[in-house]
Order: sequence, then structure tokens, then C-alpha cells
Amino acid sequence: MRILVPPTGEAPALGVEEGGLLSAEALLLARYFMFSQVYYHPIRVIYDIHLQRFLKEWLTGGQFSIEPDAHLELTDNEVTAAILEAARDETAEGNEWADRIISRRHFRILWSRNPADVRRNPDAGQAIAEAAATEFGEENVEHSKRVTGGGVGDFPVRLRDGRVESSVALSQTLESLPVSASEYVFVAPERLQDASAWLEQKREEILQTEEGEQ
Amino acid sequence: MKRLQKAAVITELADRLREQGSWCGETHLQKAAYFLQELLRVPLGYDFVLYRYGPFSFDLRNELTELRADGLLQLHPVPPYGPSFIPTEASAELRAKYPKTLSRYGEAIEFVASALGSKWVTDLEAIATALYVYETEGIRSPEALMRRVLELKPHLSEEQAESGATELLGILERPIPTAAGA
Repeated sequence: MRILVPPTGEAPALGVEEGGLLSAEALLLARYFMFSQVYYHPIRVIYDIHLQRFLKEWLTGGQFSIEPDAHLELTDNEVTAAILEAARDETAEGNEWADRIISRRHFRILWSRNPADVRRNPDAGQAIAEAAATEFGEENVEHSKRVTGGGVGDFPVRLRDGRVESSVALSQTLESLPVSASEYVFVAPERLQDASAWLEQKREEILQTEEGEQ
Repeated sequence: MKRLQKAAVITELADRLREQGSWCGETHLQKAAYFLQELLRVPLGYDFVLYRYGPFSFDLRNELTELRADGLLQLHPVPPYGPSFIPTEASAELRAKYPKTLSRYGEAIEFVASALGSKWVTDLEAIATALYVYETEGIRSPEALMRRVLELKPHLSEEQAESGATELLGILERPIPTAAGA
């Protein structure tokens, strides 16, 4: 790694020598795969959502304590035990979400991001989630959209002859590295069959109603 | 402004900048959006802070990434420089659905594109920082603007800071369009 002045003449930035470009490509590809296959995996996403719902209902005031000692005393052990306890007690705070987590009755995928729908309406997921919530109740629908931030990932590269060029200009891999993006509309498993049939019938209409300004 | 309206404005801005000769990298879009929002009062709603190369919005950076994910912008390398943002055919289709928005802010977009489209990255840093100082600190004189820009961006030369201040004041002398119907 080197501090290099970008070819545009802007302030110095962290870059690599030409020999390090392949390693940088491998790192960025690995990051892309980690996000798309692990962090954005639909099961991980929906359990994350259910956990958040549980914590909001179980924690005092719906949030973690900001007192350092109290904050540090609340570990995974306490939370896991609380989830199990709440799942067994119908009257407990967060019972619904705890039960879903313990019994694997998590919300199922009603819709996942796909190029055809996004081409029709870039906010397709939001539109479908809102329509589904109206039809089946907000409590039965969850929407999650996650896009990896951090910008273009361009950095300066010093070539062996001393010239400095952009990483994206030098590397076809980096130029075509896709953005890690996932989007799902989940629905309660008890409503999945009805919701799927409903979406099949209503999809065109839902995507069309977001046609913008007429 | 709703998300898709903003997407229409940003992709239109990118097209207009390219028409004016800009290679339309992220720095160009950031500074142009800053001008559009802060000087022309287009309600984009991005939060700008003074960062490495002048006013910068992390919200806008994330938005540009989302627009790429949605297929509305694509990257094109411009050797040896950084990549260029190019609006796609899908963005043209989206913009066709937002004629009112683009009509309302079209003049403002054109104003910014013509003022900044031909500028180099370091010029943009100086001009945008001068606007930041002008708007947030109320400094008006060319000399004081230049000094303050140099204080904030010491890696710029005195010549670059002076040029930035002069350019900004020249831009401010032009008739500033207001949003149609506003």
C-alpha cells in the first residue's frame, strides 16, 4: 500500500502498487460474496428482523441501556435465555417473535428482488410491501432492502513505470464488480399461500400504480 | 422529494453534466448536487459535510450506489482517471415518468451543469468549498473567501483558492433560476 496522488490531482489517498492490484481485486470480490451470500441471505435477514422486534418489546423502553455497566452486563446469554422464556409464555413481552425464532416459524419470502420488476419500478419492493401490508395487515408483512454502501471503491494504483492510474480504469474486475443488493418482502407463513396467489394476480397492477406523474 | 423523483433529478443532472463536457465522476456529481440543493434550493434533502474534497454527502454516496444497484446508473472507466457515472436507458425510462419534477427543476439543473460541467476536479473542490463558506459563514469578499478556503483546504494552492472564490462569485452574478411553480 502507498499514499498516492490520484491522477485527477486531488489530495493524496491510500492506494496500492501495481503488484497489489490483484490482491485488492480478490479482497473486494470476497467482500461482495460475503455480503451477497451471507449477510444478505434471506434467512439471516428475517431472523435479524424478528430479533429486533423481540428486543424492542422485551428491552426496557425498547432499547439497550446507555449506562456502560448495565449495557455490558446484557450479553448474548441473557438475550438467548429471555427468548426461550418468552417463547414458552404467551403473556410475556415479545412472545410472538420469540416463538417464531424458537419454532422456526419465521416469515417467508413473498417477493425477492429481480431485474424485471426493478426495471418496471425501481421501488418495486416498497410498492409490493405496502400493498401486501394493506391487504394482509402490517403485522404480517416485513420489507427489507439492503445495499452495500461505500461508494465506487476506486483507489489510485502506481504502475511499475511510476504513473498513477485509477483502479477501476486498470481492472476489468473492479469495473464490473456488481453492487451487493438484496431486497425481500416477507409474509407470515400462515398467510403465504394466500399472499402468493394474491401477488400473482396483482403484481402488474401494483408495479403500474407507481408509474409516477401522469 | 420522493426517492424516485430524486433519482430522476440526479440522473438528469448526470446527463446534463456530460453534455457540458464533464466526465461526471463522483466528485462532479457530489459538487453539482451540493450546488443544486444549497444554491438553487432544489429539495434533495442530502446532508452535506465538509470532507476531504469539499462539501460531501454520504447519503448521496449511498444513493448513487443504490442507483447503480437499480440499474439507473452505470460505471464507465475513464483512463487514467476515476470512473464516470453514465445514466442508463432504464433511467431515461424513469425520467419519462416524472415530467413535472423535471420541468420544475430543469432550469436549475441546466444552470448547475453549465456552471460546473467544464470544471476539473480540483476546481470543483475550490468552488464548492467557497460556496460552503459563503453559505455557512456569510463571507462575501473575494479575498476573505479565498483566505478561508485556504484555511479549510490547505492542500489547495493560493491560485486554486483564489480561482475558486472568483468563479463562485461569477456564478452568483448570473440570474439564479427558481423552481417552476414555486
